[in-house]
Amino acid sequence: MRDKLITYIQTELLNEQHTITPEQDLLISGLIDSIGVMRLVGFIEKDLETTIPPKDVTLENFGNVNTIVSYIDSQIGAN
Amino acid sequence: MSQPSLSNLPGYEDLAGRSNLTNSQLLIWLGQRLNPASPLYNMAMRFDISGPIDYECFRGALGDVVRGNDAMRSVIEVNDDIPQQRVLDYEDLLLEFIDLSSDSDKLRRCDDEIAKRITQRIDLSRKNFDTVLIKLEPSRYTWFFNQHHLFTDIKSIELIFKEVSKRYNELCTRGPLGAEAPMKLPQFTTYAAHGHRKQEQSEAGSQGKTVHHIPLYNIKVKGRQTPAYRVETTLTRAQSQRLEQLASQHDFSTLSQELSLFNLIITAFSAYLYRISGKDEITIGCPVHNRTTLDLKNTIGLFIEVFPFQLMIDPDDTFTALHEKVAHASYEHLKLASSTKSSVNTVRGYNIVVNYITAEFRDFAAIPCKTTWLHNDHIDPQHDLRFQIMDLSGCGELKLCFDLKRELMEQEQGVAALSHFVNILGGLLSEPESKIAEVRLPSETEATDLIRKFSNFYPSESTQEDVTTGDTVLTRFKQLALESPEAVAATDGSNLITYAELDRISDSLARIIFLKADKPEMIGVCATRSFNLLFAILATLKSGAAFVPLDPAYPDKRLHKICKSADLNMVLTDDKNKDRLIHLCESVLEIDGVEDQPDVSEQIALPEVEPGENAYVIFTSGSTGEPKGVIVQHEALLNYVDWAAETYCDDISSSSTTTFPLYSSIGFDLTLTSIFVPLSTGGSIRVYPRHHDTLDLSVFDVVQDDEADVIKLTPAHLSLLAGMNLTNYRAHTLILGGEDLTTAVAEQARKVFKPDVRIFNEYGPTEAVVGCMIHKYNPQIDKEASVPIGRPAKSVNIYLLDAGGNPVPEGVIGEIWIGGERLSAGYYKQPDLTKERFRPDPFLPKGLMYKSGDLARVNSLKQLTFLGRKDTQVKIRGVRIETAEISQAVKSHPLVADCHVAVLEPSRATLAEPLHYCSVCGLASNYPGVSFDHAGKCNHCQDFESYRDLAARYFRPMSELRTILEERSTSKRGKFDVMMLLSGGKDSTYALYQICAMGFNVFAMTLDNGYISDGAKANISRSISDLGIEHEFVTSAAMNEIFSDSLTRHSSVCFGCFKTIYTLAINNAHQRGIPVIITGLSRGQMFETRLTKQVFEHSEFDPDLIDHEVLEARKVYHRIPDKVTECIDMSLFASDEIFEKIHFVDFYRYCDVSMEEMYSFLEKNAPWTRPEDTGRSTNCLINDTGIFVHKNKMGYHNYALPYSWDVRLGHKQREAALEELNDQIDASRVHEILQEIDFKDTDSLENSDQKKLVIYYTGSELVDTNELRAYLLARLPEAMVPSYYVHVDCIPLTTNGKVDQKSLPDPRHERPKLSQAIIPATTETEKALVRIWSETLRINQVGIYDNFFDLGGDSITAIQIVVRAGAQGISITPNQLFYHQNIHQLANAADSESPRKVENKPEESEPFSLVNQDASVIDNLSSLLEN
Repeated sequence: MRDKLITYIQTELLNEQHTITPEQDLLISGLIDSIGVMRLVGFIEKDLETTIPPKDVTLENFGNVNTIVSYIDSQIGAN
Repeated sequence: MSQPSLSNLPGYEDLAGRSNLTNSQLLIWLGQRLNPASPLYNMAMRFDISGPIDYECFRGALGDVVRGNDAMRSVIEVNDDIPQQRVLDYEDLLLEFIDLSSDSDKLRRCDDEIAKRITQRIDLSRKNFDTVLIKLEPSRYTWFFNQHHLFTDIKSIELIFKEVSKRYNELCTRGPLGAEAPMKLPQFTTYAAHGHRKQEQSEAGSQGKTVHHIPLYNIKVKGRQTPAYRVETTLTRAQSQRLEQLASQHDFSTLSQELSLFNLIITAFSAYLYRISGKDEITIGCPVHNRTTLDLKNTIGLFIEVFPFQLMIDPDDTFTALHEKVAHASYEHLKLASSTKSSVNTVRGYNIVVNYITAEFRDFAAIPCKTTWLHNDHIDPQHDLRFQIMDLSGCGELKLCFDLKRELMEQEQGVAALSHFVNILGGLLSEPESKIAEVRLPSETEATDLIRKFSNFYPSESTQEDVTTGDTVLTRFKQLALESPEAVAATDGSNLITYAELDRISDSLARIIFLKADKPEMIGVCATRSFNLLFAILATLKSGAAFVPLDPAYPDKRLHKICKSADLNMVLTDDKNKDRLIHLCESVLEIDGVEDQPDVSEQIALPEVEPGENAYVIFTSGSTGEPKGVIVQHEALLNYVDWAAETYCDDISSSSTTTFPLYSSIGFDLTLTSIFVPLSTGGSIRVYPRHHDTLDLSVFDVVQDDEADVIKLTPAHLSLLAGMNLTNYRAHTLILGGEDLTTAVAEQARKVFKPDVRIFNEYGPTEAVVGCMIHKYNPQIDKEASVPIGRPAKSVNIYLLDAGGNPVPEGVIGEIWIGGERLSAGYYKQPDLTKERFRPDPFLPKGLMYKSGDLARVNSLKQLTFLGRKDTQVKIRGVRIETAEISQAVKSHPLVADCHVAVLEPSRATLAEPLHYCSVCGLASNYPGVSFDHAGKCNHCQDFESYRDLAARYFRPMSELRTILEERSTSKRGKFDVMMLLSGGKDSTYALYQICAMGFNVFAMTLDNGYISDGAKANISRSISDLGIEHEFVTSAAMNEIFSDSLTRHSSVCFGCFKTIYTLAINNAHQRGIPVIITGLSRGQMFETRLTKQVFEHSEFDPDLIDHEVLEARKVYHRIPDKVTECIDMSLFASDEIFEKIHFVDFYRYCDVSMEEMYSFLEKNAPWTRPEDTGRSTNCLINDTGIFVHKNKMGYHNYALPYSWDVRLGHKQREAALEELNDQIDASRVHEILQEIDFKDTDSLENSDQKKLVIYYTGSELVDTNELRAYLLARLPEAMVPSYYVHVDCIPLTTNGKVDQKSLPDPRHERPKLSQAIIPATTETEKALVRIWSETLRINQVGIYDNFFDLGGDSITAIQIVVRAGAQGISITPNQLFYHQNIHQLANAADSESPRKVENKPEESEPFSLVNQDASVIDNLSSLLEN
């Protein structure tokens, strides 16, 4: 998942002009904005065939690739 | 015209270098095309640069940016109506330069130049921007840049600014030769090419949510103009900081600070919208930058897209609670924006747009620069308001702009509007936990002004008048009795009573009271309207007591409740009511004959009555379920009476006395006007006793007598008079009170009475003594749906306040609070309630103000318009009703678990919204199930086109008729070949002549139903003797019963009449041995009843099959039990044999003749004249009554569909049909006829434009409606007994926990109340049949054991059901339907005969649609987008 996310962000959102690391901050740095996060949410939902509740789309869960992955893990774990 | 679609075009870029527009571009292009002359898409920027500018470097820099970005060099080319963009080759940029540095008026000249350019149209076929550099001083320049929105957005302009700035810097520092080549940005055409193919982006379809228009300040804007203006304000630094601080707080923060700020602003803005419109469903358009990748963030061009932002507000929300909803809506909005493209669907429907701009423009090449986004003074015609939030300079101070459509409001109001928003935002910033409904909207000055405008009472004025003169209505009356003792005080049609007599008798009665008890505080008055009632009221007052009106029409239980609540120990009553009161009250004093009794003792001095004493206590419906007593003192009563006399009687010549009719319930304070105004001014009262109808229809007596000058009445009374002609009636003044007066009803009154009749709309709750606001209806000016309630009366202050007690701005809905001098003294023995409703008046020291619970707004003419109730109180026929009292009564029924009382608003069609009519056949929009296409053509006309040719096969030549008749005549048993049903109208007379001319021996028969017009009868006799044939008038003694039964079953008189004709005809023909009965059924009627759309939809069309089905239907038709079968000999119908012996033949199936031909034939060949004594094209005088009842009960005209067929087939002119259908019907005549035929359902007399009460109740079993109604009638006044009773499984609640009114069924489409419970279908066949039945019968619920005829089925619907069922693979015959009259049996029969599989084919619904012209233009053009 981690790699999938990084690839998606690099190719779809950043036009391969930047490479990112799993712990690199995405939001506060302005690298991607709220629309970008929503596209990311859409990508994850489609890929995992799941729905992410709005209340979970927070700075804490979507701050960087690592937090996203652990959020996803916790969700799948919960299910 | 077929629109070429983009998808048919080769590739994205064609050989000429043209490429297609993106969706966003197309939407803007369409918008521009719809408003070709408007500069609404000009994005004009002004950059004020405070430093020197090198012109050449500037030109070079701008030129390089233009050269490097295709979006700046693109133009539009339109080929075959399809717009495409083409990138022009770069030519050297000629930058316009204006030097104003030596001009003495440079600043103004500069502003003028810019102002001129802002609104200049940009010719997109040549270029897409306009720019100029203006030199003001050597170190002060203004750069103006104006680009068409088709190629840019605010982020794009930010990029242009930054790029030009960067390049200028480079050119300045290194010179044109030394400068590095400019860095190339991604190109717009690349995006445009990929944009269409982007994988995850799908077109946003209809979102499935309804978009609600939000009327700003409740102003309706009809025009589609673009002129607009901008008002703006800047938040203080402190406010901006507080906003940012809130945005970073945990509760309000989201993914980014920008989004958090946006959510907070939207929270305040949606609260604002709710407050100024009263709409809780908010939809606004919010643009999204849509630059979803890094490349797109750096591309010059148009990317912005607008998506709807929707949320539902709860009026009780705090800002925090609302924010939570906003955050959720915001998420949905972003999700929509990130996954779909904007389309016609996403940009249409809302009238408000909020644009939160995050672009920043700081220094220009390190030179300080101030950036302004200039408004082009135009707005998209779809939008009333665009709210723009920006901080272009990035200095931390937010600028708020309202771009408002000019036709919506003047700029001054626009400024106020923005300040209202700022006040709401202030509420959020200072106290997020405060309620959105309680924040003050207007500024303090505006608030003071608003209060002053509706205040008529100032304490300074009152001090002089307050020196009590001691006057009361009694002293006024006494004075008149002394001055003119012989003047007539009252009459009742046969007797009269003078002022002196009334005074003497009431004195005498007062003394009796005085002797009976020791000056009781309150005395009940329960008497039928008569002189007795006047004696009782005056005597009570004279004895020093207050009277408590007890309407004798109230049920005992209600009277008992009032007597108990009022602690009454004395009631004055008459002989009629005495017995029922004896067990209710200790002392019952009968007043009959009091006038003849000698005065007990003239020596007994009656007390002096002080103005501060109580005059009356009226008990009204209470929200606790118990009636509450409103105490009114003499002072307040006299104050009202004096004002009313001044208002209603003064400016009319006082040469004769003014007569008021007393005809309404005494339990209702509206009636007091007609007693005390005449008795205090020397006028007289004409008393009308109540009839024994359930509904008091004495108003008819009033207008029949023509004795009244001033009539006080409710709109419900007035609508009863619709259609009457009282233009010579003497009444000069109508005072309307009690409930909302619609303009339609006021207009009706002007038609009924003389055109210059004065119509006053008087508003006032009992607590403010009869009436406290007044408006004289002005037909030239008053065009709103309701007549305004106008301005406060003398001594009255009206405050329109919000939930927080703040005045509301003009246009905004607020609650009416009443202050000033004329208020009730509170509620009898209910101090808490009194305290709650009568509060200290903050606007008037020491005063009190009464909380009315009524909602209103100030209209553009500074008058108040009534808008209904805030709570559950309703007014029905002018009577104030707390639904709680009804609920309590319903819940006390042992079989009811829970209930909800609702008010059924008049159907849309009968209210303000005018009907519209099919452009072809004239069918009205209120006809059930009708819909219209873009050209205004109805679905029936559209359908007809599809089967017109096929249907022609049903009609046969005349020669075939002759053959049939000849064949049949061989089986005649007497001398006649045929029987002709002759109504005397043109159709049957023409047919008769033709049949006679064919040489057949004809016997003619006419039903005399008791209402055949003399003109028609004369026509019949003349024709008969002209032709020399035999004829008989037949009739039934039970005709009136049949009419009444037909009205009950079908809301029509014709149904019963027709069945009688056919039944008698068969009996008669059988007796005479006639083998054929010929009808004059028109082709229109054949289409209406048997050649319906469904017949042609499916299987092969077979005319013989239709005949067969009609015959089967006929057999059953005669066997459906009703009054006809009960009252007429039916022995012949015991077997089917009679239908073999006697055949029906429809003449016009064989004869095609136009109306003109028919008339000219009759003119030449027959002694037939058009009857003039009936309503239009009928021979029957009861017809109007049927129409009247049908319209009121069903909401539409029963001839609407038949006439539409006449028009469709060319047998009637559309205009003539419409005129006839819209004839006013004389209600008093209807009333008379209904009495004649003894039709008791008085509900049907009431106009359907009246509100009706409906009860939804739960409970383990259905309660028989008649039983429940009787149960309530014993406990509640008649007006409080609901019209409809609906058993539901549960009372649905909204998410806010309130009763969800919208999901409760409308009982007007409700299954009739049957003792049979609704048993749901189980088998597939049953389910399919339930669906078919409910669609065909237009009933929302059908149980499988419901009897077909109980549900209102008849032979026509039977055929429709058979055909529809056949189409779904269920084979049944009409006969089966008639033998198995419920779905369960029918399904069994069908299944056993043909175990075919049921196709699950949901029927298409045909929603009512209004054609919106603009929408249709967009729809046509939007086919361009379907690629």
